[in-house]
Amino acid sequence: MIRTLAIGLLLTAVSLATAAPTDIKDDLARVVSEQNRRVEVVQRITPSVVCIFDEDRLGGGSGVIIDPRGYGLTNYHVVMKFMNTRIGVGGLSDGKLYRLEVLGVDITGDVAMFKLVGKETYDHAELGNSDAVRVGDDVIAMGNPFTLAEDYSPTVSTGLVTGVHRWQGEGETLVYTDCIQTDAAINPGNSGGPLFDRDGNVIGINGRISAEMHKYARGRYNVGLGYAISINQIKRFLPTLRAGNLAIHGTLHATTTDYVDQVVFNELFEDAPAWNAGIRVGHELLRFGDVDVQSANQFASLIGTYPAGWPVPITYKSSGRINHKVVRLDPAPPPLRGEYTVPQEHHQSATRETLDAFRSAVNQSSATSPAKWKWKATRLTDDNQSSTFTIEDTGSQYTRTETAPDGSTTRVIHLTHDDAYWTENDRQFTLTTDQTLLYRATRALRSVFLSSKPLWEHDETTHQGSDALVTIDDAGHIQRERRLETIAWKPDENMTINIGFERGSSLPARIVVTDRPTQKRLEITFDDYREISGVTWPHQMTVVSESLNFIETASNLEVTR
Amino acid sequence: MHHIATAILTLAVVATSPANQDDPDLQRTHQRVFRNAIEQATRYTVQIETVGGAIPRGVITDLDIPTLNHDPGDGMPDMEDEDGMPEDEDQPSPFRDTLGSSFVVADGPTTGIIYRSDGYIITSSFNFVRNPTHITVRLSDDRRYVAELVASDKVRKLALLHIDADDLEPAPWVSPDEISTGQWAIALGRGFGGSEPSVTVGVVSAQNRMMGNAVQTDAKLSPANYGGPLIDVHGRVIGLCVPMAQRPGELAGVEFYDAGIGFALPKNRVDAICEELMTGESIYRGWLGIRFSRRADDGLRIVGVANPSPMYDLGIRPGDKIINANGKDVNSAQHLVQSLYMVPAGKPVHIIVRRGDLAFGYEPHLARAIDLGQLVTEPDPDPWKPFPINRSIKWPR
Amino acid sequence: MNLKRAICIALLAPTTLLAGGFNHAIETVGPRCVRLYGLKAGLSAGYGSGTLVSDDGMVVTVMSLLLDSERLRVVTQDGNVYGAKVLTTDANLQLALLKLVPLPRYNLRGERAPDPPSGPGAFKYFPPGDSRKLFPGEWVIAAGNPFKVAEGREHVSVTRGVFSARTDLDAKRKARDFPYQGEVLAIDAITSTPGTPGGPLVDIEGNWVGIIGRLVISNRTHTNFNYAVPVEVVHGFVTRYLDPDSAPDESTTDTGLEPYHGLKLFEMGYQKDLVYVERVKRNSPAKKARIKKDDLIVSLNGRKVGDVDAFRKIIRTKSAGDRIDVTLIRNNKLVNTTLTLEEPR
Repeated sequence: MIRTLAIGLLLTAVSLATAAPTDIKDDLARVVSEQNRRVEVVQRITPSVVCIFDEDRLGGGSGVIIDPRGYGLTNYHVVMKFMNTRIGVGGLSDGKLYRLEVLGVDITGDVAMFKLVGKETYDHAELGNSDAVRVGDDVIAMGNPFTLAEDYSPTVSTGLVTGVHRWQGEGETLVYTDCIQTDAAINPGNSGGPLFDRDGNVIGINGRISAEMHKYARGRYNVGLGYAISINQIKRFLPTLRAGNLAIHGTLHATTTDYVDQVVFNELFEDAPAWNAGIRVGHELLRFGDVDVQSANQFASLIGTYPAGWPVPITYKSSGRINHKVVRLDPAPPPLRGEYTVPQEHHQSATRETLDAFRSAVNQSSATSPAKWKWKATRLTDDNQSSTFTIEDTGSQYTRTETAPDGSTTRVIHLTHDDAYWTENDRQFTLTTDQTLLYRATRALRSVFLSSKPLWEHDETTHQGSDALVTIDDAGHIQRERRLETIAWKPDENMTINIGFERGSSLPARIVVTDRPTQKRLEITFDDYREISGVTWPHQMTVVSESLNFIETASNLEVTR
Repeated sequence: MHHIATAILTLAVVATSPANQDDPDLQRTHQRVFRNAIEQATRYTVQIETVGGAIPRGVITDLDIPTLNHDPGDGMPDMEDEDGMPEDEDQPSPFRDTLGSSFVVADGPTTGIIYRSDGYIITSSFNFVRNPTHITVRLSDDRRYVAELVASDKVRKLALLHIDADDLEPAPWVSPDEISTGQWAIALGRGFGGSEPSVTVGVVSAQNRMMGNAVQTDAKLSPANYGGPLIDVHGRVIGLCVPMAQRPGELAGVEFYDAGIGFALPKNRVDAICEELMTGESIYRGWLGIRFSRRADDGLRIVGVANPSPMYDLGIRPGDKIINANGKDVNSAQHLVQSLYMVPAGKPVHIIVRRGDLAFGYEPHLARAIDLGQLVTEPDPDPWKPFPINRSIKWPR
Repeated sequence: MNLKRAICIALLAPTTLLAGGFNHAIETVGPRCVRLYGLKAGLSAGYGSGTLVSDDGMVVTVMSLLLDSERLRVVTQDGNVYGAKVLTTDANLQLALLKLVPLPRYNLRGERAPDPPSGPGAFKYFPPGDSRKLFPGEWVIAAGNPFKVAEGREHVSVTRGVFSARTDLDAKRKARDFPYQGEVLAIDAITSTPGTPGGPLVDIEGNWVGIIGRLVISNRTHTNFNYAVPVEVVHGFVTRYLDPDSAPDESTTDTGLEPYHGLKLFEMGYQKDLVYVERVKRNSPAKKARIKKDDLIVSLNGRKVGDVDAFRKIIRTKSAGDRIDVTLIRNNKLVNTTLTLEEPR
């Protein structure tokens, strides 16, 4: 009763307000101020838009600079024609042409990264959040349709978001999964150009339109349906693309189908990620990557947005029980004509940039080595046995001292630069390969943090691209997602060490040591960073060993000089 | 109780964020402002009707051969087809005026703007492609006049009409330096018939397009509003809507109709062109009078020169190569078209021609199509003949 | 002043649920727009759009080959799939009225699943709005199924534009005159796309103002024409089905008979002869209207007549006693007069 009354009152207020005569001057002032806001946004973002041509200044597409050093995004189909040389030309609104080098490409997702050469810093656009985009939002598209920009100042068109989570594409390449649909004019030549939200943040890369191509049809002109690759998808591939790598999308090796109101798995490969997560035919898919799945189509769309190896939370229902898992996706490489070669120089510069960013993030230049550190650790084995011990690293010697509950020391493991052993009853035992991995991992950790001159040289390391760490809560929701840039270092032929630096903070988040002959892996993740003596150190580490079947967590780091 | 709390909260949000696009009143405000601007502009927007005219479609004749007859579509990037169907290169497109194809020009009503109080109306030359025998103009107050086509600029697509009236209210214009990319742009047209202008809404997409001749807009432009005004929110004219593309041709640009690619001539360009047209002399498309090799690796190798033509008269012969035009290096027909398409007959261009190892600069004045002679395809019999340098011969407009 | 304004806005703001910006119109249009799927034949797309006009599932759409499909499926925005029965069509308006009917569905174990809601009260629908309130430049939202981009439970495709102009339809479809020649709402949103015709057009408040019309080429511009059939015409079509005794549709039709005007026009036999007067018969309506030899008739009732055919076409829609405003050019001046037609002789 009261509620009805309240709504009734509101309605009256509405009709009064709309019926009241309004002075057109007030209206004009409001519209002009809103218009000026848009004009300012357009002026601010215009210098970030690139007109892309091949070396002969023919053809044409668009791009957007996303980093002051000149890194930018475009469509793969824009640079496809000059992939043999990887060199094109980029025109900016300053009226000048710049050399454009193609870095990594995502053939499946139709994205390419480039770098402009010729200036110290470039005006760039900020990346927005495409997951927050709703149908009805204002958008601004920019680019060089029909190569009209003789002075390389881009064409601006405006419209609304007219659809989200759209799927557009055929075959295995240039598939737009989960893309944004807009009625802003997108025409040939807009390809690769940015779609901005009303505040000028990039929410997508325009690349496709719907057009009727038969004999009597209009042809390749905008008819109000343009599609942009969502920026959140691209964000997951950014390190990969910047390193010049070929982006590889992920797959669950499982498909679903719509059954009445359910989305049900109907085809699975044995030993594929989905299978290993316990999913079988007939199980109902509820959530994928923290999105409630409404249709099989939507699921296909969602999965297309993830790189291979990416950890994705999945929630499914099997015989009435709800399961929350995190699966790492299998690679689904695009069909390639010939081999994809990574341009070495871009590769190295991406590595260098990552390491430099890390060094300045931990303030390593002020670090003095060697330091001594000590961690208190708990080990939980597969059969739920737990033990506590301390880890101590003095630089020359690394010891693990396991302590019994009564406080008596039971075992000491020694790791030196050349040897690894433990002693018991005055006898010395050599470590197994599995245990040596641990040794290797801690050596890596030491070299990462303490060497003012790192153990790796740039030409020994490769930039592996993007990865992530995901933690989920009891309800299966993403609690935390840490995006990583991973660098691989091969200290010898038997060992690969992958170090993942968190994007943004540039702090090391994970070290993975792989024994190549046996393919055994040991994974250490770091957290709880604090500053000690001017250097940022992780104060928590978790060791997960698949082959030794244990999880170790260590905390309370003590560092002494 | 809850309702009150919500109301207060909202007050704070709205007050600090006036730009919230979900605010319905903002959109209503826009509508009132648009309506007001449209009412202002309706007064100076006229409807033009034509009768007669023999050519129902814009057929491109053989006259076009010795020139820049290159399909500009070649250089466009590929968009994936919606249905994956490959584009058939040879398919007839009704919207391209390349050789042999045609755009069926309708003879519906068209649009113009009152330019001067003494009876001058400006519109687009596109509206007279059919060469009508009679033109009438209907003012917003329904007065109708028989109009005389004073002259037209077939390059910038502007036509000047005169009616026997001296009490007209000319359109107010936005000064070109006040135009901002991203501002509202509303196009008015009379091409759909009816008693009021039709309206399309967009923004200014870019400025200084078409060699500095045009403002670009994403408001939908089409034969329904070519010749009409593109206005701002105050009802002032930003520009005169015309079809345009980066190539010559009376129908060039119509292919962009309703695609969110539209062009309008701002005040400074309109004034300059009208000053020329007031003399009664039309402005025609300019031609060099040459034909190029179609082989991609040939650069701009000339295989035919019309005699007479601006290039022939300067001594340029088949076998020579054009390497620069108006200061831009060119090595394809598309480059050359993009350098010269806005230059009308009678105006000079700078051309650098290469013969063997030598390069020479010239300043030919472009010619009208009707002044070009037969195509000569024989190379120069004596390639060592001294080559004239920096000569300039005037050709009629 | 400022304070007053702020309060006014604050009162409006909570009504986002009732009357939002574009979001409100979009949220309103979504569940009231349905997608049609059927047989693909030739250049016809095999999919289309419809608009819900009653709470028991009556849908208005345009006539098309799609309606001949044996298994026409209709999908609502919540992903429910229905069959459809064609209730009636109007060849002049090129509109069709459908009724949604349940389609049996089966789950993974082959059991019949419960039907989606149908019958009275099951559907959100549009009550007819008022298209005459629209003024040029006013925002409109069109919804539909262009290129069938949205599937299942996805949000229907929308596009924003403005109402451009009210005009009569003078258009061709596949080189033939389009039968409907009445009033339409021209819009600047592109709706001449496969699958869009039949979808609703709403104003910014979400009021239903029209149905996106079939793909046509305008005779006036020779371009694809984006328009909607006004809601009043659509409502009349629905009402005539529900109540056949209601007022019939008034339309101008070519009677084939030419009432007497007394003009002999100059005809060389070309397709596009201008309407020059060769002779005016004595005591004829034309004589009384003071039309003279060599006058060039350029419009009838304000509608341009570019050639003799167009002249005759308009005259044949008139009958004896009708008065026609004639505009002609005489000595390079425009002259207006009125012609009163008489019985054919």
